[in-house]
Amino acid sequence: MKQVTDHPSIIINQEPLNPSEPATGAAEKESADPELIPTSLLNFSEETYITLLQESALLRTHIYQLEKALKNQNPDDDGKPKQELKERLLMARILPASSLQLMNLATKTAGMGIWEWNTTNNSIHWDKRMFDIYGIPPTFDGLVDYSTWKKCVLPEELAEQERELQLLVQGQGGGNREFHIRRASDGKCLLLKAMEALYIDPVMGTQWVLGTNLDITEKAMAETALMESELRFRTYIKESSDSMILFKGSGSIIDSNKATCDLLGYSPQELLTMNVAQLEPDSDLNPSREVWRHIEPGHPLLQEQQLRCKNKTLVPVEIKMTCYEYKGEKDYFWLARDIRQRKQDEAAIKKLNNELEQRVKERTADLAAANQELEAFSYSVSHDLRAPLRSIDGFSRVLLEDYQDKLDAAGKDSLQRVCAASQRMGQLISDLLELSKISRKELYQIPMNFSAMVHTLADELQQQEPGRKVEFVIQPEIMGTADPILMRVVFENLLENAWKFTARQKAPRIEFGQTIANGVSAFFVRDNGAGFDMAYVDKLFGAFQRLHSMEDFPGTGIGLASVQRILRRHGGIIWAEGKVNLGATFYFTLPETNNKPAS
Amino acid sequence: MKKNILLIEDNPDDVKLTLRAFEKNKILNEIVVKTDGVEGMEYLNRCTLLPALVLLDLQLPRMGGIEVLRRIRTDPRLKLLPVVIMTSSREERDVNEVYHLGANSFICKPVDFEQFTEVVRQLGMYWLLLNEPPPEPTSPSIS
Repeated sequence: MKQVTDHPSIIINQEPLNPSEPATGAAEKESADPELIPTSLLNFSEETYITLLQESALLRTHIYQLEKALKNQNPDDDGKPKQELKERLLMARILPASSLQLMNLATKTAGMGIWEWNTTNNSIHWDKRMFDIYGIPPTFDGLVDYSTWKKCVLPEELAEQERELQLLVQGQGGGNREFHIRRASDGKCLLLKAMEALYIDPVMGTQWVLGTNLDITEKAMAETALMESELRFRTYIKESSDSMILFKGSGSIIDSNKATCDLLGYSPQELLTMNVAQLEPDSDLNPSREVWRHIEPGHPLLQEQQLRCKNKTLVPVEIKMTCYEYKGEKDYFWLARDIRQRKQDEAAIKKLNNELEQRVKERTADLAAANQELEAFSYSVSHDLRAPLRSIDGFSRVLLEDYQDKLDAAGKDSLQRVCAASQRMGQLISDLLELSKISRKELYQIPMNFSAMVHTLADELQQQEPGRKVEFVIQPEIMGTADPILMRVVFENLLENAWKFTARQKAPRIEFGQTIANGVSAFFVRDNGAGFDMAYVDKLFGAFQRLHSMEDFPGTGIGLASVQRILRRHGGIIWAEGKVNLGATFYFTLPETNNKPAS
Repeated sequence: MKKNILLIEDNPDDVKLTLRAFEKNKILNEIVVKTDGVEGMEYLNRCTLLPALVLLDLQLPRMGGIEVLRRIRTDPRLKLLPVVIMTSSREERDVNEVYHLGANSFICKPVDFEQFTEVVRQLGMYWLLLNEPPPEPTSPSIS
């Protein structure tokens, strides 16, 4: 203690330490009001602080000298020199006091601790913030044992730090170090930045080390976090398969990625010397050129355009353009996606579509032509084939009538056969035309009463052959939606067939109704007539297909073909069941929506 | 003087059969036969007494039956002339068109000669006996 009193701290106890104050790192720092501190002080570098410390120390030495001189002066001397000494001392105290206060304020704001080491007498002083940083309760006079510091430094870094200090004391180093300590109060590991300078008291010859400690843990962590984040985003950008270009409002490129180089063929260095205008094709080809100039932060723009590669080819891209404002200046960012493949695919699809359309057109035209041909054919069949038939029949009859007496029985029979054949052919032609008409007629479907239609047709048949007695059993009120004209053809054919094939039946019976057959709701026409062999059922509905001889049952074989065609056109089907001499049943369906179940 | 019948038909067989059918049915009106539309129109424009009936085929050389019909109906002198279309075809198109053009009747010639004869008999009966003919147009020479 004595030593200390003789050689007091040269700068530190300007601000009296209060040992009762708890040693918390942040308390002191926060209490400093930054608004009262000139900004220039906040921006001091560590070196400036050290210089300030040295200058302060010099002033303190000067004051100390004056004080000592004043004390040693003989009280018997005349008061003049004493008075002068007193005045000089006062001036010296005022000057450094103000500058030291400023420095104190600055270090306080920065959270910087100050220490000094008198290597002559090996005493160490800390200011209050040093105690705060190390988490140690402050001592009354700021004196600290060297071992106190040593204990706090991480053991693995201690040797290096002591060596540095040693070099400094020997005047061979200007300390500017970083090292880790473990804070005594909570064991938290902190990173400190330390600076020191050597100071030799010009009067006393005492050697001092003046130093600062600054807790840079948070700053370092923030820097690490920033570096990590930077690395992460760099990686994203570098590895992205989309091209990214960053440029200034002038258009000059400031950054790009590998995808950009791959896309455009420039090296990263080349791109850095370029302007985005060089990447955009000429304006007459490219109305969207420089559209990026109109975007605002927060309002990105997505557009398709072309970019010019190094080899002058143009690449179609989809670009998302954004911009951000920093310190009043806008930077622009392009995220460009190569859409060559997409364009190719689109073109391929368009081409296929066009081809398909063309093919459909051709097919439609073919169909229309085929239809026209069919119509022309029907027309010529009806005109050109019937006229000669009429002649054959007509002149055969002329012969029969006018030359009756000159013809024998065989001759007359022959001519009659000619007439019969031509009439039959005429019938065939008529039926064939009817069939083609059915195929060509437009469907006009309305709800209709099938039962009523069957009744009407049954009456007509009865009137045509009043001699026959046929029992009709017709389920009442069977409704359906269909084309009435075509349905009349269906019922005519089915009923005429039933009528025809029951001709040899003693108690002929024809039924019409609705039932469930093959698991579906179907209409049916049933007779107890000649029936047919199920082995030939598939021939039933073919045009000109007949299962009976002309002598037994006349017909052209067109009727059922017409019926099937009509039902198919409605979306329905027809099938038949029969047994020779036990009758036949014709079932048919119309689409479900058309059917109304018999109530 | 009995009015004649104008038959415009190019098929000689049909002409012969038609004439025979008229004859068989004791229809004694003179039958004027023209074998194409142009001749038919020439006859109509030239004759002083219009026929009682025109039997018109559709498929004709030079000028078709439909055109003949159109000309008859647009000619003030001829437009009331009874025109019966007699054809082999039953094409709906044709039926539709000739009725719209003002045909009085449409008959499909049957292949069966007996039926054909019957058709001709009924035709003659109806148009020459039952039907009250339209008034004779005032001829340009008289007015």
